[in-house]
Amino acid sequence: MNNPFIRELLDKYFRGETTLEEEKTLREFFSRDVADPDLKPYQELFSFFQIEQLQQPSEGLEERFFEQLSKRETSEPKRPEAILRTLRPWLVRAAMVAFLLIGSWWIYTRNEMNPATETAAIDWSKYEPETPEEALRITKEALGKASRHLNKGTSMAMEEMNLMGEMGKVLH
Amino acid sequence: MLRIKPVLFTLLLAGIALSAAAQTDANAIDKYFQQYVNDNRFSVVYISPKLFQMFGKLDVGVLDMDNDTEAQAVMDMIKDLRGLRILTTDENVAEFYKEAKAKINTKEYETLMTVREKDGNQVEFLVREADNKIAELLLLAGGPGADEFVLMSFVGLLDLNKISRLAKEMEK
Repeated sequence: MNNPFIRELLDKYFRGETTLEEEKTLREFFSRDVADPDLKPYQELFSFFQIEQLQQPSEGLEERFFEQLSKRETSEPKRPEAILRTLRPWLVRAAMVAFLLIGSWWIYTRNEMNPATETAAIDWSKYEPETPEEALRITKEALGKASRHLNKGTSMAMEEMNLMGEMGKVLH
Repeated sequence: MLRIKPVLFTLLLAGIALSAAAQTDANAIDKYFQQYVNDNRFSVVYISPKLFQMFGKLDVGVLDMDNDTEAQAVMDMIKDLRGLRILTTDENVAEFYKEAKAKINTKEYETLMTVREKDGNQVEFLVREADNKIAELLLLAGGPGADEFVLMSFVGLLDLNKISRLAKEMEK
């Protein structure tokens, strides 16, 4: 065949300047038996390209590829440090609440124990009247007493006010 | 600013929780007069909230009162009470009165009324308020001329008008 033409095309091919038409010519040339020993090594290359080109991607390959990709992005298990980073503000808050609770509990119990604020809480139950009737009578007495004192106070105050009023009248 | 907010919020919550815990059934006697309760010279009476609840089921006849309105006035007051503590003694009356007056925190307890009679008998009413309502009424009686020292603590939502009315009912 016209070997000088082929050589020229090959040179062009390796410079990356061939057109699709010219590449097709090259493939067709090398698909046949090549006699020229100088061109023989290139035959393998072009026949390989031809075989490769015959392989067709299976249906929906692209879709599957991108699907897998997006799946990896969304459901990629977080690494421990990433989890820690998102949880950190909450951990800090929880720690503070725990600290405050323990602190207030400590203050509370310390106050109870403090001998300055007296011994343990009073056991009031032993001072309770035996029967509700008795308790009611005591309550009534207590209320009556409070009431009498209260009224005595107010009436005394009223008397004073009246007295002052009288004095005011005398003075005028 | 935004980062500080949760901290403040947590502090606030903890504070509310603490003060709420401290508020339950607080009374002046537990606070200031624990040693009197354990002192054998004092007679002590305690009416628990449970007993107050039982009063509702009792026959008002046990009150031994002249008429029903009077009994009704008493029952009306008891309804609002959650605790009554009484401490009395006839020893060292003047001394105890002075001591008690000095012990009560005047920031928390406001003097409602002080009555001093010619014979030296003194009565003081103190109130502790919560949410603009009377949460505790303290009656303190004694003084140099008195023959009895009395310390009464009424815990509960109290209406002074009702207490005042009670004495008027009883005097009828």
